[in-house]
Amino acid sequence: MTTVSRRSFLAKGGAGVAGVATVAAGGIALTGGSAGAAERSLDAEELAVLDRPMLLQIRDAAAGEVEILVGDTEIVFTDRALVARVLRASR
Amino acid sequence: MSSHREAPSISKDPVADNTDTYAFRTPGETVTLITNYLPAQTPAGGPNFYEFGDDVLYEIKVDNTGDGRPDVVYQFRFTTTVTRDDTFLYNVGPIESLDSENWIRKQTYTVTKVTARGNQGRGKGQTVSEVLATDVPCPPCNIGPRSTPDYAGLAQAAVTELPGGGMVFAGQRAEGFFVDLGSIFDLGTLRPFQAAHLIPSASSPGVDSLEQINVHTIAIQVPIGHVTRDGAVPTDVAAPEAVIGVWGSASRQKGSTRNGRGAKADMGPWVQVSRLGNPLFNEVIVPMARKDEWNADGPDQDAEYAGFVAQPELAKLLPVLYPDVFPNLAALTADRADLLAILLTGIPSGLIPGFQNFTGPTQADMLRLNLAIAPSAEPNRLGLAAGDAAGFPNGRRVTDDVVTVELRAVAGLLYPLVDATYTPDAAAGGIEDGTFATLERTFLDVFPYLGVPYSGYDVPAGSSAA
Repeated sequence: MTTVSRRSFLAKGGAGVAGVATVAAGGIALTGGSAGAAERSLDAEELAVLDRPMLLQIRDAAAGEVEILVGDTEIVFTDRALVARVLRASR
Repeated sequence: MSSHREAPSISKDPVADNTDTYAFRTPGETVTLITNYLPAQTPAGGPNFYEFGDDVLYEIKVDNTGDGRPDVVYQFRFTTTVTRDDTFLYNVGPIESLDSENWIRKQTYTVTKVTARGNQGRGKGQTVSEVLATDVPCPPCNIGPRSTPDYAGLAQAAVTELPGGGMVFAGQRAEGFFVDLGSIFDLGTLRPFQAAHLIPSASSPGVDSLEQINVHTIAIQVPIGHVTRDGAVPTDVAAPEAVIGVWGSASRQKGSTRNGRGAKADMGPWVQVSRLGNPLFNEVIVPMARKDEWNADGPDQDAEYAGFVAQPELAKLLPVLYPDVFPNLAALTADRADLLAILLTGIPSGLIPGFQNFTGPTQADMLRLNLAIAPSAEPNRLGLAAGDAAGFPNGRRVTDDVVTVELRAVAGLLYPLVDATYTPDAAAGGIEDGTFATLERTFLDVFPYLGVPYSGYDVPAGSSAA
């Protein structure tokens, strides 16, 4: 399994359908936050937890609201900086 | 198939298309709940014979508190296993048992019971899940005399007893619903009454559009106390706790991706894509523009659709399509309190002597079954309208002629129940689904009640007598 950082995820996300980004057999670090949040690679334990297909969808771009679909659950969080970078990458 | 391909979205997703729901009391103080999916199967289904979706959550839901939310849910999840990768065949020899090595593509399922705590409904309160059975086998489809030589026995072997009482079955069955679909959707033609239509033609008998067609059935029979709010077997017909509401549904996960090599991954919470309580509700009452939305809603949201029941489009069309046949119906402009009761709240005490299936003021499309009413020794296909209180719209049995009952109800036959001054048109008591006179259906008198499916060898595509 390849270590996936938020930065590499965002690079891949630019190739996705507008508004939707996918990560297969991997995961991303979510710091819930601000544009300047620190980034680091995921460790093996974190990757093991996220060893399932997941799909991220921008629910409300203006509000920076993102939903993660993983397993049979849905997680919603707000990260305006992440949304902004995904949208720019999707152009 | 009272709701087969009835909405734009689900018409393109047959594996999740909930076509009919049945609920009726059965011997031994049990209740049988059935939901059907995968409509309009021509029996010659090879090489990819019909099967449930591994990616679909199938549910039978019971409301025993009258709020239109499920208090008891039976969930069914399927798993398909392909035992060999060197053949294009479904079977490589006769399938004489459910574990036959000749059967290459098998399906099993898990049954889980989800119960709401504190009668708050699953959407409000906590729930308790209990896995009732795992690795329960489905029978294969009915292929033909060489592949499935004793199909009836093979399928009956798939009836599986449940711990704590009851039994379950999931697999192919003969379609039980009958309707002259081709006629009705040709501008409301009702064979054999087409001579009276606005665009008349010579009279001819009804044609059963679903003759010799198969469907996939999920059936569960449980002790009555497993679904009532107090865990008891009701004996007082007038008691509110004697009535349950029942509907079926199918859900898919919210997210889905494809990898470009035939593999698909699903993720996220389950989203309902189909449901069915009363037959034909979505098909002939809900406007096309809202049918997909209705399929995604729960019954507790059905007040949004009550206006379409109170002023049903079909009741307005009948006097137009059949000039001078329905003058009293044409003059009936008041809200249809009769239909609102039958379809959305249940029939309260006082309208029909000795009967009620009222669940309270919440308007919700559910099959309402008064469990204090014993099974009828001589069932009448017209159910309650013919004095047989054990039949539709008190629940629904597999043999009930729900098209005729609902046609007559929409035409005003039962409106005197709520307005004694109203006189139904003579035609209201005469219209019927014209297929009954020549109907050929075989039902079982034991669980799972729906008949043995037609075999692809004996009924190849295009051979139907219809």
